[in-house]
Amino acid sequence: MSMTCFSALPLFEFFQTTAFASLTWQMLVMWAISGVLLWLAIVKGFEPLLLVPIAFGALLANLPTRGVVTHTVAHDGQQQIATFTVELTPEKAGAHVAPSETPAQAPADAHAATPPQTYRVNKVEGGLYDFIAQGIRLEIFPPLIFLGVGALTDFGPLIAMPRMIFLGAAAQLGLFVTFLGAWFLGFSPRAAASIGIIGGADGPTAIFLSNKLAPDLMGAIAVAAYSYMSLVPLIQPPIMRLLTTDKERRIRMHSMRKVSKVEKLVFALSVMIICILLVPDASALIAMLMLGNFLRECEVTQRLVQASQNEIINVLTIFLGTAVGITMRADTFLAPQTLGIIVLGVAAFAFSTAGGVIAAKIMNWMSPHNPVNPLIGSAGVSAVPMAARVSQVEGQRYDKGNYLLMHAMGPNVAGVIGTAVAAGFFLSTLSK
Amino acid sequence: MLLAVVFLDKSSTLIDLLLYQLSGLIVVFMALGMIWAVMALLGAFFRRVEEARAEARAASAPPPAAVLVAASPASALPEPDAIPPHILAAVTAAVYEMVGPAAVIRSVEVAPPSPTWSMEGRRQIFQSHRIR
Repeated sequence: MSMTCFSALPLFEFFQTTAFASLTWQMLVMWAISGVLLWLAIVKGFEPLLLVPIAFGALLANLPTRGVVTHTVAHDGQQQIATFTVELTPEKAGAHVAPSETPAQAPADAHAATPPQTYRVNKVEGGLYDFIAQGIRLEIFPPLIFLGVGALTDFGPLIAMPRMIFLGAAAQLGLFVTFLGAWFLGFSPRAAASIGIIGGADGPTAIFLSNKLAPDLMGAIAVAAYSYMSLVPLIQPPIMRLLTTDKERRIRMHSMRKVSKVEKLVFALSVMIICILLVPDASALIAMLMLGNFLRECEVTQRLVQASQNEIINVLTIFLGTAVGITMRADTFLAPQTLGIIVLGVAAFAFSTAGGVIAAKIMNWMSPHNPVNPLIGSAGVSAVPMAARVSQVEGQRYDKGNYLLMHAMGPNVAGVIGTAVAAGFFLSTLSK
Repeated sequence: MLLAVVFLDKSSTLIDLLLYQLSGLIVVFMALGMIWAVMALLGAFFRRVEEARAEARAASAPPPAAVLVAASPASALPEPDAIPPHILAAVTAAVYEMVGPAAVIRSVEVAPPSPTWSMEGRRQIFQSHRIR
């Protein structure tokens, strides 16, 4: 045998271990989609903090990796990703009841609890994202991101004008209308609710809900939600102009009073108590949101606030985004339902915008002596602070001296609470 | 009946669906309505407290500093001791920077306190954070 043949054999064996043979055309299509998402995020500036990790995760999901994420098929034939295996050995047997004893003759302590079985973990097998993705599966990441959101949010404008909270409530109309649309398109109730939550323009809530109700759709829903959040300045203004008159757009609102620290603290506690009592399934989201806000407003935990606003939210954003992207495998993403989600996502935003604007007009009809500029109704869509800025910009188109930004922050932050409550409603009624 | 939550399944009709949506919207409005009630009560209480404090402050505080406006368009500036000269210099410099040499200062007044600058500060803080 020549030297060339001898050295070629290990090389040939090596090439058989590479992943080129595992590539499929669907993966290549997903590479292109990941490229588009990266272009939108980096060049166009579409919510880059989330879209870059999501797009990167999507690229990873469509590469034949090893040691990153595990794909398995469950007993019912459903594909599962991000599962890891644990090999256990029992260490100590539990107590046994003698077979000759009947329940009537059994000694009194037979009804006592069986001692817990102890196991030793011999081996844990899984890829990097099998473990990281547990942060989404176990509903840890979204509430912790809400901790950071609460620490970043100032509820002062809402507390100063409490009735703005109804604009945030009305802006949830899009969720329920989109649910109807998704139902008619053939989605199940759980999938329809997960798609409808896009209208809340709240990424962590959308991921939290879709993970519980429709995990297969989570990737598409997250991409739609974050993409449309960036498109709020394009989606909302035409609807705002369609539903308002020139006179209404020029309404100047009364200036807001100063809100005390005690009010802000009581607000955080009240919201948490009320929402958890009404929709306990949203407890994790609401509790973390208000914890973050309470830490911020008490002004004696600055280090914790700094950590929540920066390190915690930034680290979790990376892991959440990539873990969501990892779910965007070609076989689940390249399906007709993805197109349905993208179309329904726009409808959700549109109806939510309309709901907020119409609610403001109704408030003006009921209380004409203290009018609300209907343009701030659209800020009930909780894309904070983008939607409030859109109200400000639109208001200034018609009256340069009209500053609506802080007024619009009221419904904007109310929308965050409203979306979490709506998610709690869907969870309590559909997750059983 | 309207508050009955309809649990949906494949056999649900359009009416079931509409009732479900309505129930959801009512739950959202109920939650936020209760929050509004708490905030409205709290706000009313704190407004009364603040009004009482303001009255107490007004009763004990000395009269506010004099505000002077120029008598004629040509002379324009107030009495020298009403506003310190370094403040006047700073205002003049700021106006020159913003408007240019065409600006003519006709009056300088002590404006009442306004939350505009704090609002602008908050706007810039929010703009600096891309939260989601």
